[in-house]
Amino acid sequence: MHISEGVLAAPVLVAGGAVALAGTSLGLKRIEFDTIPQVAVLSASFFVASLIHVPLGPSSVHLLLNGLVGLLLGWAAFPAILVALLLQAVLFQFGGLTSLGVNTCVMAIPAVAAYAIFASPARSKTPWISFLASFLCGASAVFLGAILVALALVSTGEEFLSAAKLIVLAHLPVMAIEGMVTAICIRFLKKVKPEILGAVP
Amino acid sequence: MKNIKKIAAAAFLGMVAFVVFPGRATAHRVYIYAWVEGNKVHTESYFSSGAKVRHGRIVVFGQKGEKLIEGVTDKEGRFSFPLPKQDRIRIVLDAAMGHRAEYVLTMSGYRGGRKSPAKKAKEAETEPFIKTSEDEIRAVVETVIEEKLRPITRAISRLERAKGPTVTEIVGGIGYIVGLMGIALYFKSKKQGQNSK
Repeated sequence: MHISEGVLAAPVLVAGGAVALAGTSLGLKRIEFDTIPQVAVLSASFFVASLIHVPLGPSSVHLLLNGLVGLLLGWAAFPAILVALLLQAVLFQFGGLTSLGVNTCVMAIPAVAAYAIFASPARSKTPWISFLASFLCGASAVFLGAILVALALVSTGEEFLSAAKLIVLAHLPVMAIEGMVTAICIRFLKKVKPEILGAVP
Repeated sequence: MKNIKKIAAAAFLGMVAFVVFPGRATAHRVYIYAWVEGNKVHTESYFSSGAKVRHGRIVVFGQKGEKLIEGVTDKEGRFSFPLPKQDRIRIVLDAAMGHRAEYVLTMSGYRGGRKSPAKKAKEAETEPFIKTSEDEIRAVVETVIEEKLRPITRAISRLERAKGPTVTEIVGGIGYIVGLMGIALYFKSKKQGQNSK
């Protein structure tokens, strides 16, 4: 879900950049001294996650992890994702520098939305509620990201519904996997380091 | 034990999901490479995962940005078109979902070999005493060279396929993030120190 350079129209790029900037500055304010390492670790996880290709049928899919990043960081997901995407753009030429703002929005807005909806149910003491909420968090963050990519592509003349359908269909397996990975991670964290879930900026 | 069972069940469900939803490539980047063979331009398009771009839209632009040819890649990610008269063409691939790549092909060195050398040879037979012109020799030589170079052109096209990110780049990226964390911690700790004074 990296939009390449030269695909989008200038207004979309500028708008994406502005939103990303606003989100990042808000996120940076929310980061406390104690949570800096946590933001860095999740940024690194996001940076690496999309490199892990899982062969699937004739093609392959990769993880996004934006739901997990959002669930653990809240608004701080913006700077974490921005840094990871910047490094991916510079080092691997995934996406591009001009589309960095839009790509950050595509990944970070769902992350923050997922945080707003699922943060408290995912921290529930009832195991199945927590599991279900974190699964939905991971899956819906990918879904929302796909919808945002489709929205951004409307500016290139693609019809929204057909673009959205194509991208959501392509990401169905990713959604299922993301959900499972997020749920398992949250379960694991709850057992091993429950204070991470408590200390949300 | 219970938990291990649960995690195993979850992992199994994940694997089932893999099989149930056969997905399309969700690679990050597309590549296009073009080369000239005879009087045709061949292009090959593929994702960074190595998968071929099927049904990708290809548009060829001329020197002044005018649209020359439009087409769609086949199952092998290939698309060929006749060599245009322009010296420099820009081939743009649009692989949907925001994936896009382009390749600029310069024709210098490909021109001149248009005339069939066989025909020339025949002409030379009928008029054996006419000195073979420089153009004719050039045409023959170019055809032969092109044939000899074909495997090399192919090999270069394979080599030009950028491999995925290397370990160095990945580790480097993580290093940058750790560095940024250090900078952030440094400034925050300075602030905290000032506050406590």
